[in-house]
Amino acid sequence: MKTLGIYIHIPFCKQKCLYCDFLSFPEGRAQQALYFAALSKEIGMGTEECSDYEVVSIFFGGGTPTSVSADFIVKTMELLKNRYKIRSDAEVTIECNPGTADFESLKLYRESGINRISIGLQSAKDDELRRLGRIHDLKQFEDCYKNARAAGFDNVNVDLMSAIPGQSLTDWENNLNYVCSLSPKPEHISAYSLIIEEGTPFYDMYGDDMDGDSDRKLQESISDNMDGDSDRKLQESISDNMDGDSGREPQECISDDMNGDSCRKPQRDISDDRCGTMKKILPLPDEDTEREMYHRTREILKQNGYHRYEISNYSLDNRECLHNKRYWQGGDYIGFGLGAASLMDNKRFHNTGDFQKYLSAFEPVKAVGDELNKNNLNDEEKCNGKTIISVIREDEENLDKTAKMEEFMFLGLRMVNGVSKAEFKSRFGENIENIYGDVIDGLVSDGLMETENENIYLTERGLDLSNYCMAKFIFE
Amino acid sequence: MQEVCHIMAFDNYQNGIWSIMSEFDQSKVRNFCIVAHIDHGKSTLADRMIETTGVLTSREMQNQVLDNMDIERERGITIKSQAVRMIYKAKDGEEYVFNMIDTPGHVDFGYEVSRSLAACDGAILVVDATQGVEAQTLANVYLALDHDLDVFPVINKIDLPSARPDEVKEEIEDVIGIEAHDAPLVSAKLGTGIEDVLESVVHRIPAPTGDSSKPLKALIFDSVYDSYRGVIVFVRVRDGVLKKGMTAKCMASGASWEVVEVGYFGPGQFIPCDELVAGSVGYFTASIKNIQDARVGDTVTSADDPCEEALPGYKKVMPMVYCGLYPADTAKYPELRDALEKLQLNDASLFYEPETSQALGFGFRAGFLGLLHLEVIQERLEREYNLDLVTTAPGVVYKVHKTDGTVFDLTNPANLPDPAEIDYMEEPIVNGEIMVTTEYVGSIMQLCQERRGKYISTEYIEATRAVLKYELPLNEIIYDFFDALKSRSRGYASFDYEIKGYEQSELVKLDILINHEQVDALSFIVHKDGAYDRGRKMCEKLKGEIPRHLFEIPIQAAIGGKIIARETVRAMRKDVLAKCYGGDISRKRKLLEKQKEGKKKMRQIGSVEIPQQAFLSVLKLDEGN
Repeated sequence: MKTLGIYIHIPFCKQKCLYCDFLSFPEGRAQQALYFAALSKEIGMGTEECSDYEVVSIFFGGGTPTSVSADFIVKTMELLKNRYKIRSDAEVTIECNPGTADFESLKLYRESGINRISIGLQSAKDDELRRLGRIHDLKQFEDCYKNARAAGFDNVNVDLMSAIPGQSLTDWENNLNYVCSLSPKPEHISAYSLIIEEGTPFYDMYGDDMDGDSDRKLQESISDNMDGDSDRKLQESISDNMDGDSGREPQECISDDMNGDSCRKPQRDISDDRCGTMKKILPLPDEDTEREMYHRTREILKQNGYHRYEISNYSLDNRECLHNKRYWQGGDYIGFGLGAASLMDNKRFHNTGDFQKYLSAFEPVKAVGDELNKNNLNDEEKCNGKTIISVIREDEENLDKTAKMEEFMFLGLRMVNGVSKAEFKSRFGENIENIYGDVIDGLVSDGLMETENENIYLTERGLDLSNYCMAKFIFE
Repeated sequence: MQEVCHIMAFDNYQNGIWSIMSEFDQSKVRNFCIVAHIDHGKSTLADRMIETTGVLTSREMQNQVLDNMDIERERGITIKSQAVRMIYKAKDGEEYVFNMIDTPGHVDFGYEVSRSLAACDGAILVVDATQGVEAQTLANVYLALDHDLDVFPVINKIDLPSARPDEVKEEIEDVIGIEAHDAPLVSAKLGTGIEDVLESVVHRIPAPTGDSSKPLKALIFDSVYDSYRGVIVFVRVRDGVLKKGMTAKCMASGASWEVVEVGYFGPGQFIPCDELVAGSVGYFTASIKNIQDARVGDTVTSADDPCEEALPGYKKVMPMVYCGLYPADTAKYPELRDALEKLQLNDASLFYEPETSQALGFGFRAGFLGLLHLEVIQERLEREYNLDLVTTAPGVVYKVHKTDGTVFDLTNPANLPDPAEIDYMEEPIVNGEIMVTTEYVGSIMQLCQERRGKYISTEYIEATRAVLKYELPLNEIIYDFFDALKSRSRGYASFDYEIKGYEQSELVKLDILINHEQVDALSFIVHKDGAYDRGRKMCEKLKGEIPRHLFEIPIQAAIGGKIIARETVRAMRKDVLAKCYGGDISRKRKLLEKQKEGKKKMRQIGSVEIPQQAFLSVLKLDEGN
C-alpha cells in the first residue's frame, strides 16, 4: 500500500514574531471555531482521495497549533483516526511554543495519539528572545519542556535560531550547550539562521540587500540610526507590531523544524526592548560569524551525539523527522487547512491562503465533526466535496519526468547523504551521469560536491552554497 | 496599395484645396517653421493651427499629429522634422497656403534644424509666458536670423497662473532684439489666440520668391523611407519646376532618378499632384533605395537642365558620439545587423560598422549625433526589433596624432595605440551656453569647473538671469551633464551647445581588469587629471554590479599597465534560501528557476560572469554624489 504524510495547518498564533512570514495571525475563539469546522469538513472530504494510502506521518504546523484550545486539536485527531488508515507506528508531530501549552493540554495531545512535539525555543537568552519579538522567556520553555516529558512525549524537537541581532559566537555556543544539557536531552534539534523575509518588521529594519559589504552597511545604518528620523521610524515599526491598535493585531508564530536553512541580510539592528524604546543598536552578526556559527553547530551537536541529516536538522540515532524527510524524498503528502501544500500522485497544489475564501467554501456543507463514525460519504456529499476542493486548491501542476528529476536532485541534496545513483536509475530509468554528468563534474571540481559509491552529496561548502548548486540541476 | 492611397487622397481633397492649387499664386503662400526652447509648446501650437485651419477634424487629431513616432510622443520631443500644408482663409477674404515645417527640438539634431530653417521664409518663435527666454530660445532665434528668416514671437501658456506675458515681451525685446509688443498671446493648450497667430503668419512672414522659369533648384530638408515607394524626399523648390517623369539629380551625391511622384503634405499623409513650382514645399519619390543618396541639405536639380550652382550649406553630418552595440544573446547578431540596416534607411545620420570585442563577441560600433540620438536608436532597437542589447559606454571621437605623423579618428578606446606611438591627442570641444537664474550661478560654475570647462563670459540678461559661456570638452557633457545641471539648479538652468572644434588634451586610456583579465568593452578615455578618481569610482561601481562567485574577484583600474585602483568582490560564503514551508516545494522551485534565469543575463568573461548593465557603469559614476 502507498504511504502518505498529512500536514495540518493551524494559522493562529498569539502574536506575530518580528521575523515571521508564515501564514499566521491571531484570531479569537469564534474565528478559530469556524476554521476548525471548515478544516474538519476538508479532512472529511479527503477520505476518498486518500483511500489507497496508509498514513505514516502527521504534522500539525502553524502558526502555533498549541495556541488554540486543545479541544480543537484533539477533535481533529479523532477525525483523522476515524477517517484515515493510520499506521500504528506513525510519527505524529505538533508544533508548540512555550507559554501556549500547560501540562493538561500536553497530556491531552499525547493521549490523542500525538507522539512527537516540536518546541520553538529559538534562544536560551531572554534578551535575544525579546529582540526576536518572541512571547516567552527561558523559564517558560523549561516548564514547557518538563511538562512535555511528563506528559509522555519521548520524541521532542527543539528549534534554535542563530544569527540573532547582537548574538556573538559564544552566545550561540551557549545556546547549543544549554539545549544539549537538558535532561533528558531532546531527540531532535533544528538549528537554523535567522532569515530576513520580505513583509516582516525585520525586513523593514534590515532592508532587502542580501549580500554586499556588511561592515560598511552596518556603519551606514548605524549612522542612519543616529539621526532622529530613521530612529523614530524604527521605533514606530516596532511599536506598530507591539500594540494591537495599528490595524494589525499582534501575532505569534512558530517555525517548524522543516524550515531549516536560511538566508539573511546583515544590516542594522533593532532595539533589544520589545516595547519600543531604543536602548542600543544591535547589528546582525556579520557573514563570517554567521557561517562560523553554522559550522560550530555541527561540531557541538556531534559531540553531544547528534548527527546532521539535513542542512539544518540534527537528531539522535533513529530520531530523524520522518515527515520532513518525506518532503525531501518525494513521498506523497496531503495538506489540509489554509495554504497547505500537497504532493499527490505526481501533482503539486496548495490550498488558498485567503482565510475568508477558505471558510466560505465549506459553508454549504453539513458538519462532519459530529458524525465521526460515519465512514462513507453518500454520493451527494462526494460530489459536493469535489466542487469545494476544486474551489480552494490553487496552482495545480503535473510533474513531468524532467520536473521530477529536478526535484529529486534539489530536494535530495538537502540531505547530508545526498541522493542515490541507483535510486535515480530506478525512478527514471536512466543513469544520472547521462543526465547531469556535466553539472556533477563541475560541482565536484569546484569542491562543492562529492560522490562516494552510490551516493552523490554536497560538501560542507556545497551546503553553504546549496542554492547555487541546486539551481544547476534545473533544466534550461 | 499605392493606387488606393492616391484615390483616398484625391477624395479627401477634391473639394477645396485641390482646386486652389491648380493655379499657384506665390503671393498666397507662406513657408515657415516654429522655433522654441524645449517644452515651450511648439508641437501643441502646431496642432492647434492645423486644427483651426480645418484640414483635420478634431476627431482625427491625435494629440500631437506632427509627432508620429511612439518614442517621440512618450518623450514629448520631436525627432524627425516634418512638414504640413494648411489652407487658411484670412480676414482679408483670401485663401492662403501655409507650409509649416516642424523642426527637431534637440541640440543633437542641429543640422537638421538648420536645413529645415533653410526651407522656410519666416519663423514663429514660441516663448513660454512663465519661463521666458531660455538658452535654446536664443540659439534657435539666432539660427533663424542666420538663415535670413523673418521671426515674430508668440507668447504661449498665458493660461498658467504664473504667466507673466508683459515681462516676457520685454525680455524678448531686450535679450533677442526683436519686436514683441504686439506678439500674439496664446494658450495652445486651450486654443486661445490661434487666429492671431494665423493672421500674423499672413502679415509678418514674407511670400516666397523664386523663378519657375529657371532651371530646377530645390533643397532637401528631410526624407523618410517607405517600403513601397522608397525614399520620400522632402523639398523646398527655390527655382524651376519639379515634375513627375523628369530626371532629377542630387548635386552632392551625384545620384539621379526618374521622378515617380510629386506632391504636397497633408497632415499625416501625402497628396500627389503634377508638379511643384518655385516657392512651394512638397515631396517627390523616385524609387530611391538608399537614403544616403538623397541626404538632407543636398540640392535637387534637373539632370537635363541643371542649375549652375548648388544651394549653400550642405554638409555631411558626422557622428559625434560612438558606442558599441552588442546583442545580449550572441546568436542574435544577424537580427541586430538587419535592424540597424532598417533603421538607417530612415536615418541618414546613423552610422555603424561591425566590430569584435574579446569580451562581448560580434557587434557593431555605432555613431550618433549625440546622446539623445543614441538613446532613441537603442530604444527603438529594443522596442521595435525586440532585441536585448549590451551597450558599451558612449565616447566621443578623438583625433590621435601618431609619432609617425599620421592622424586618425579614434572611435573605440580599445583601438588606442601604444602610448609610445602617440605624439598627442585632441578631443572635441563645444561652445556651451547655460542660462540660469543668478542664485545658481555659483553651483553651475562649479559644475563647469569640475567638467574641465573653460570660462568665457557671463552676461546678465536681466537682474536675475545670466548666460554663462563656457568651452567644455564634449566627453564631459555626453553622459550626465544635463542631469547634473538640472539637479544643481533645481531645474532652472537651460543648456545649449555647438561644436567648436578639436583641441589638444592630455588624455589617457583607463583599462579595467576583472580577475586579472582586461575587459576591452570597459575601457574608456579620460583626461589624466580625472583618471584616478574615475578609476576608483569605476571599481566601486563594478564591485556593486558583479555578483559574488565561488572565488574572490579582483577588479582593477589601470593606466598603461599601472594599477591605480582596486576593489574586491569577495567569494560567495553562503547561498542558501530554502524555506520549504509545510512542503511548499513550488516556491523553492521558483527561486531556483529565477536564479538560473539570472545567470542567462550574464556575459561570461574568463571565468567571471558579468551582468549586462555593468558595461554602462561608467555612465553612472556620478550617481549618489
